[in-house]
Amino acid sequence: MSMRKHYFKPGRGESEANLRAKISQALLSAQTDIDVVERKVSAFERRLEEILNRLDDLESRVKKLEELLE
Amino acid sequence: MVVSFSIHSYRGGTGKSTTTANLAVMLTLYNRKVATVDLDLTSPGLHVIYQVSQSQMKITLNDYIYGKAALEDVVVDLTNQLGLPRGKLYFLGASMKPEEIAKLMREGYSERFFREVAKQLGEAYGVDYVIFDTHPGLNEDTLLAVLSSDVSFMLMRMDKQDITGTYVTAQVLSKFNKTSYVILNMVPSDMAKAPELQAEVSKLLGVPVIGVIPFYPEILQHRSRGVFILRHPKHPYTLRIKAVADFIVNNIK
Repeated sequence: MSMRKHYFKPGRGESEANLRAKISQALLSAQTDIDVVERKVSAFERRLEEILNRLDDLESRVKKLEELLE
Repeated sequence: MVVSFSIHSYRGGTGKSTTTANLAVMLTLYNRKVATVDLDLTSPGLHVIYQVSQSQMKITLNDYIYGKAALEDVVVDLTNQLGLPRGKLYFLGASMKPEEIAKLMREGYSERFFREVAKQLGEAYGVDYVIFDTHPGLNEDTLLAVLSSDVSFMLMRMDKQDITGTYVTAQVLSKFNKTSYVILNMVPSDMAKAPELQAEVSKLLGVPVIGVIPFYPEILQHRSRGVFILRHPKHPYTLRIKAVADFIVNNIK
């Protein structure tokens, strides 16, 4: 461990103002696309439902097979 | 070379602090030096999991941010306290005083803080990784934390609100060409079994999913009393955290 203590000097530079402006801009444009987002997430949820149903079906078939083997 | 991560989520209660605490400990088991920084300013919680006493947190991150204290006065070395066999674990805690929380929330961070604290932790303690446990949500200050770290980890639960919020967050981050990864947390056990889950979520978000952590009631029962993986080294949760740590150690330099 180095002996010199490390301090932080508070304050903001020009680059930070630029980054904050870019973040605000990005947030605003994201909000305008909300209908598109809703559509994509709903489609994803349907896909997820299909996968889960298939998994349920697979599990019940395995269970039946196991019962037959017993 | 220090690598800084932010651990972020769109919603609160997704397990950010639990994941941060356990992942950091796991990385020390790879003989890495890790610093965890509690930036969840409105509800700091890492100190509870690490069982850091109030007497160890007389000087906090807030003092450092305002230039009132040195980094070395804020850092708590938890390596021996947690009985870690190798590596090093450091903790930087945020103030629990309401007036100090309000002041920082009102004034916000400085972008320089993230770069400076990571650089100084590298100089003073030789850390390999700095993990920022951020405040949830999609707001300017949180995004500043995410964008100012080298790599972003987004934690997501599999409910519609969180999926939507994480999708929007991923879209915003992509505008900045940010290196991001997603970890699915508290995934219902039937869903976690689906082999396509990781690929489907990656496809939706346009971000690689590097971990799927099922919901384990034992984590809730543990009630943040210490670091779960240290108490339950053979639990499946520990193995899932190890898989994420493996990814970090092997892929993020």
